[in-house]
Amino acid sequence: MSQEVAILAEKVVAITRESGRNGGDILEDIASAEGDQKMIAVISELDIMSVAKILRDFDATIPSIAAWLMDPETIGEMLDVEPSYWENELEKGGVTAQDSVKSMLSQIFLTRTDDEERQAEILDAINHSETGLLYLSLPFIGFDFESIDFEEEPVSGSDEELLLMIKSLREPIYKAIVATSKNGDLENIEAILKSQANNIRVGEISSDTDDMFEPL
Amino acid sequence: MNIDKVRTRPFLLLMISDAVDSGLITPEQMSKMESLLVDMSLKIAKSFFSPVISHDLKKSCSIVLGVTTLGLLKLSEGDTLKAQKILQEDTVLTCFRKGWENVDALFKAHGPDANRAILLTNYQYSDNEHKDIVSIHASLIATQQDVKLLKQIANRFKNPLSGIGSDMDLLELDEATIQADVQLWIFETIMKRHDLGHKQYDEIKALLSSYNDKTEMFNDDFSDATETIQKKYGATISKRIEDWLPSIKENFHKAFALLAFENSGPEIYISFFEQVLRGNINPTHFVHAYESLLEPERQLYPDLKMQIESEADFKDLPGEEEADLPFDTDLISDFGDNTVIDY
Repeated sequence: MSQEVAILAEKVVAITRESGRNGGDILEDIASAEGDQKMIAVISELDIMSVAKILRDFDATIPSIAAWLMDPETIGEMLDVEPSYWENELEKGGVTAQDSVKSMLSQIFLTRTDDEERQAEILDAINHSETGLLYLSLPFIGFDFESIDFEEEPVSGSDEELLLMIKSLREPIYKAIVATSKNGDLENIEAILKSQANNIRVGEISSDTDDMFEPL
Repeated sequence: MNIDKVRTRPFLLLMISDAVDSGLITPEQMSKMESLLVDMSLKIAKSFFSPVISHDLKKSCSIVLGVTTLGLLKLSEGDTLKAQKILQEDTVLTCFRKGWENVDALFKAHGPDANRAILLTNYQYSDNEHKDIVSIHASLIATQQDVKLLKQIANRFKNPLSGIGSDMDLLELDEATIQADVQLWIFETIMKRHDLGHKQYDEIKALLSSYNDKTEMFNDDFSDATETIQKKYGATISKRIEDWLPSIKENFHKAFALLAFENSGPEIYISFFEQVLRGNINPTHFVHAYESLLEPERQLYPDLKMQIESEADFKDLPGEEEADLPFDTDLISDFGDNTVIDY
């Protein structure tokens, strides 16, 4: 890694700490001034939490080019930790975990549809992780699958469009999503994803705290 | 211990710095303690909040500080020497677990569906604070236990005459409404003592009128009735109700004074119960009295009239006429059944 990339990465992390959106803008500046390869090099130096924070601040209407250029494995890893950013009940205001996941997936799957092979690889990478299927299913809990019209062109940006995109990329994953979201409990799945993400983030903590929540 | 040191800090931090100053805790033990506190905060963050959102991390640190301080205060009973000994021989984790025992009691008091993350935020403690975490905890527990007691009282004294439906969420009940139900209970107990039924309007009128004239007589009956509360519902409930009794008694006197005793028995009956229940009556239980009212007196209760008449209309409606009605009767009668007079 060149020293220049390291310095740039450090700068992006510092800016991202304040605002994921500004972090994303800096990445775009790097790409337009010095080329996509340089930006990819910088992204690969960022910690996964910063990447997740940046992508969360973009969506399908204003996608981050980072989402287009990251390799599938990084995207999978990033989505594993993304739930740590979901706000608690009290603070989340209008944005629910479902909205958040929907926005991430739309950004990844609906904004650049010219490279199906890459899209399918990303889907595989997400599905490969332990909780990937739960993540993919979360936005569709409560969705009326009977209402899908397979003949008509889906409304752009709709849940249906996202589902049909997944179906066209990997039919078995689509079927698993339908089954999981029909049977899944929203609160439970949210809690599992969050706890998994928090554990990845925090990593090993001192075993002395094992009995922390045991009353004395 | 330095006299000039700022002492307005959480007990835990004060005890740690005193122990460090006096050499009880070595720098190595100190750094171990620090990293343990960090791990404990991370564990709170990942279990209840988020370990990546900065205000959640801050909150988690404050909770660890609060709960650990609470535990240390409980273990040492505020004795500074004992506290420093505990810190030296045990760990901050022991203090936390003692504090957690208390937090857990609050969780249990709120039941399994309570949002524990929100309850935990009550124990936040920042490092320049000097509030009394022990009494904060005590009042959290006391408040919740009082809520449970009030619910219990509301359940026991629930009365069909009162307009609050039994299916209504008890959480919505305020203390004044529960108090009104207790007042109603007291009066029904007095009625029983005088062998009066709900339809003996004239006898009830005579009783109320004599109470208005002879306070002593009312006071005796009132005391008799309230004494049975303890016998019937036990010490805890009667203790809680005791505070309400002066105000209930005053409400009775106000009600007597407001009654126009030249009016008919049924009118006195309705207006008395309306006053006791602060207008919050269940109209279906007052149909009998309303029907016995003198015609001009009916004008006094336009809402009751509307409610009762609309229900009677639909009840009396002959089957074949329904077809001629220009509107959907099912819809209207559904509506009618659910209409509650809104005062």
